[in-house]
Amino acid sequence: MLYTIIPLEVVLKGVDDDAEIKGREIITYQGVVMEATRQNDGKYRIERILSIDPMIYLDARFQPGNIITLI
Amino acid sequence: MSDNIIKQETPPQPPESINNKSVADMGDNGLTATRDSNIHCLTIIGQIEGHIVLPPQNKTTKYEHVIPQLVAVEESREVEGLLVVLNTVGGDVEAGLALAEMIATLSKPTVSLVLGGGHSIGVPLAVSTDYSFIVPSATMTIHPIRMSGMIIGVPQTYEYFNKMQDRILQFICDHSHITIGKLKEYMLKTGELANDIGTVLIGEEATRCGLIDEIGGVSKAIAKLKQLIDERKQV
Repeated sequence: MLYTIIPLEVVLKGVDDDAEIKGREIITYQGVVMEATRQNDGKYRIERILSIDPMIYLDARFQPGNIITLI
Repeated sequence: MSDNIIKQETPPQPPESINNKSVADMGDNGLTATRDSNIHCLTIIGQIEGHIVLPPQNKTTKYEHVIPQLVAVEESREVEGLLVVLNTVGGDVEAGLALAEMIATLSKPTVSLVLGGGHSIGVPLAVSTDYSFIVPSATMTIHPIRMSGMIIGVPQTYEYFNKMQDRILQFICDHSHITIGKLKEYMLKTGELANDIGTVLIGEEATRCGLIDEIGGVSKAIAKLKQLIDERKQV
């Protein structure tokens, strides 16, 4: 049950379509959980940090858009 | 130690600097700063995603991410307080209430700040903290739950929706200074929203009716959180 100001048809648009894969994965990089997109070369592009530690967001290593390599 | 979080002045490095500079040039900003933070910041954005995975056009905050984080805040020795920053359009009732109950029952001090919008199920989240702030330009919409999917046209359907509505309103009343009567009045008001019933509360209006404690931005919210942390230490 949704309680939102966004019209339900907008929120649920495409919900019945075959699961469209966004290419986003939840990964852990240097101890930080983040959402990242896998690139063709196997590296990842940071999309969004999921940590609640505000100082992580100041760390240059974890800026969205950075390309990282998982070891 | 506790002053560092506000005085932290090192701007975030642009991504390209990583390629040009060695790790040593960048200093130890990140790691030192991490150790200094005794406040954690939970940002609740977009839709609150619960039992149903929402299509990708939605930006979401997922309960499976947030619930363990709240457990970690409660368990952590370093984290002394939690700032909840809201800019949400609402979302799943069960997930929203679950998060709100988690925040409300944390033993550590919590402060919320409503920026932009804290609508629908964002309202219980905003009031779940020990103290709440709203910026003057932020809005909060209080409206009835809408129906989706197959609805059976029987009185029981109405009763069920009423029950779901009441559990949300009851939580809001229990954790703020607004009365249930006033809240229901806002929810059922006509003439405020274009195609719907309900009320949009803008900044100060939300504090005047007792829903939110105070008008203020990030500095006030963090100052209040530090005050609550200090008070807790003295007990």
